[in-house]
Amino acid sequence: MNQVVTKTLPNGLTVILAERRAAPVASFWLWYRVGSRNETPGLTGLSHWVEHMLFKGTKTHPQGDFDRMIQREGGQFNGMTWVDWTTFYATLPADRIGLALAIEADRMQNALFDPDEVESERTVIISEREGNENRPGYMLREQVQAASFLCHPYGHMVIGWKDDLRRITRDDLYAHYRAYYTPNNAVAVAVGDFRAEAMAARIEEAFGSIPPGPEPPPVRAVEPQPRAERRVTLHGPGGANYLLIAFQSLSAHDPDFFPLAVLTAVLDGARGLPPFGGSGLGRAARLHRALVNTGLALSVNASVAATLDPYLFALSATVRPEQDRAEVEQRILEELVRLQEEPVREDELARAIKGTRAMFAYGSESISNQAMWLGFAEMVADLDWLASYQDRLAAVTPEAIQRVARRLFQPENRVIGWYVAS
Amino acid sequence: MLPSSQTIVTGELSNGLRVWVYENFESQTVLVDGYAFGGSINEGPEEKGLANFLAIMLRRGTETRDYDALNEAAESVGAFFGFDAGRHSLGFNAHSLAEDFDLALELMAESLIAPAFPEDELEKTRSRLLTRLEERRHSTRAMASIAFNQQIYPPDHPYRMDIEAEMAGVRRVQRTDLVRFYREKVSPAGGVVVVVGAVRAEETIARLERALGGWRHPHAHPDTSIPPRPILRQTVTKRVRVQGKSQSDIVLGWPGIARNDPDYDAVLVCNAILGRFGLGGRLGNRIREEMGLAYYAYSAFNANRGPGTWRIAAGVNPANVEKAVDAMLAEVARIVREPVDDEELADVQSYLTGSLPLRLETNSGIAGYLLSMAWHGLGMDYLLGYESRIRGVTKEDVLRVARTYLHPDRYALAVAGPPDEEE
Repeated sequence: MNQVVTKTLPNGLTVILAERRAAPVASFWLWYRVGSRNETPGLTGLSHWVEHMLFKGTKTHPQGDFDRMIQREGGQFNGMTWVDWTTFYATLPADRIGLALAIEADRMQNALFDPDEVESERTVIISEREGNENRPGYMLREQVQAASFLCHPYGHMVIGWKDDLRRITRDDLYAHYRAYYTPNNAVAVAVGDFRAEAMAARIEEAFGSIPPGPEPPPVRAVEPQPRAERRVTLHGPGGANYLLIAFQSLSAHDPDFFPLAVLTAVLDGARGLPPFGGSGLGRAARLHRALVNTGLALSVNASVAATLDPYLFALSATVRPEQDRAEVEQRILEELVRLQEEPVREDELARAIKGTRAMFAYGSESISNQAMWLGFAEMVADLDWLASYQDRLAAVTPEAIQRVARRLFQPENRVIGWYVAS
Repeated sequence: MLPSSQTIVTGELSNGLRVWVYENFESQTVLVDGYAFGGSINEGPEEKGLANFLAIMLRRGTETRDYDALNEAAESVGAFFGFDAGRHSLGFNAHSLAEDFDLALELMAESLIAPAFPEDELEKTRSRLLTRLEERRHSTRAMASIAFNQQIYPPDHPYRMDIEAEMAGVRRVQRTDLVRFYREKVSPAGGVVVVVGAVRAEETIARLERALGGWRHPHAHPDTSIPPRPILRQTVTKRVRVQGKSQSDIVLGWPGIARNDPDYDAVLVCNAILGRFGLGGRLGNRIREEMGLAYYAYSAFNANRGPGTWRIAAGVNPANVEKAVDAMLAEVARIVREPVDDEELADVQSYLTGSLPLRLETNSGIAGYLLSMAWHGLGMDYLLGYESRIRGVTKEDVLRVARTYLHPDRYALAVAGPPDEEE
């Protein structure tokens, strides 16, 4: 990617720009530093719901207008909410990118939160949640995540608890919107076929006059040092048993994050920028060999995510109902002990580094991805973290991986969850 | 610039596999994507699931490299390769950095030319497939979709899905079945392979000849017939009970069109108006935005060598199934009753044509189009004519295809979810 330009507007909006002239398209992303991490008990799911409401119209554009405006220009348009952030994006023919700027500037200030629209979206989100509940994997994840955090808001799913979704009011949503969706709490990213100077001027024109909001309230909860291994077991209908082992993990800015990323690749194959870099490698990695090649599990995965606060490092497996569950669990945990006791081999390190390079190359064909990576990095760390990502992975030593394995993989640091098919 | 006969380089390998190569030096990667004749329509009544079983087993070891060695080789360079069974095709693909193209191609070709079908991998695959099928029986989405398929396609139709028959078929598969099906029912002759990425075209064709030219199944006689269009004479409804679920999934629809049907473009436009544009077209607007009934509500059609289906889908609370079905039927009644608005039509035409550059942004996006163009005989200049064909669809065309394929009083409906409360 060409040079990345950053600047901050007087109202606090951070702007990140990268020219990419290969195709006549441009991608614009607006990121807010708000997600389920910023929610309190009784109000879980607020951020995701606010994201939905920002598609429901403003004073000048009624519900549905934004989607039509973007799509009739051939654009892609969507929003996502996760634990640390919320983002809205549009990718368009480059000469129409101004539309995305105008929409984002409009809904940063003027979203209506019409009470009727709030009610109709309440049932839509409950339906989204019920669709998730139909999947055993979701049900297990929700329980394991809740058991993993005694007080940190990472303990609830982004979509929120169902009873909260039934009770949250229009005013709760509007207050959340006013508190967090401000220029000083946002990052604008544009990548594509434009001149950076001209794009900076257009962004300033669209967003410069929006007044800053008050400093958003900090997240006060700090998850205490785990003291006890926890177990959760769900029973329900299903065609297989599902295992999820979650360890308290490391934040993106922890220096041990990079050894952890390599460790994940050794266990389950290289990936791009976690958790959004794509995956699919891993059949030559340790977990697949130990569990799938031996027939102990149908599939097995490791997942690591770059987050602001320590989140979860998770290992999951799908297991035949006839298979002895303890044996599967044991075999996975043995692989973790092996990481603590033996240095990983050079060829495994090399595979992790080369695989990561390939995954970044596959992903970088899309300018939407490039813009996403920039904004995501700024949310959970900074641009240098992204720029140096592959080099820092390449610098990871076998000793560092061992150290991180010892630091993380302690019994009191984990929750072992099973969904048992009845 | 759109890929066209000016920029696509073609050739034919000595085994009859047709080649399309598109150079893209903006990327650092290369993608190979191809179809041989084969696929599930070649399965006998006792062989359901065999084509898929075969595709998995092709990736499980060759005469010179076992599964581990194949994985080790591919992943040492971050490359992928694999196989998948379609209804008419055996798909094969490889994806790598350009610098590792030769290796990825070699692994894919070796697996196609000299598969070992090892017995131990066969048993593991059988066990995995049976559990995956069992998982599908607990998925409301999968079960609604299968039940819908069974309402559309009669028992002897090659597109009919049948989870019980597939389980029985998977239990029965022996190594000799795989070998026989592969040699007799899969044929590279007449198949297509597309390569897109940072490689020179002429050189690539020579490399493909070296790697794949020797892949020959001289005794193969795959079924290349086009399955008939099923007829739906009356409304049929099926409810599948799936215990312990929060949501019911609904699929409602009709027999659709084949990929090279002259109505394809009009159906594409009509479907986008009905259930795609914006947040799910008219259906999304009504069922999601206005009624708040569902997180997802859309329509879609699939068009293969033979006629696919055209269907509406939504996931709703079990108490709202009837309301959602009524809303679906009301939108169908409207689109067959009155012409669409000029503005709606113009919006959808802009959307379908304007989004083409974004859909062609990546090598996999380009390869997807090229493979479909080559396989269905749409021609190398298909994309050049795309805009004018879509712009040429009129309100009358939309009304005509709506009236031809969509019927508010004659449809197949499948619902999978928890038992009703009164049951």
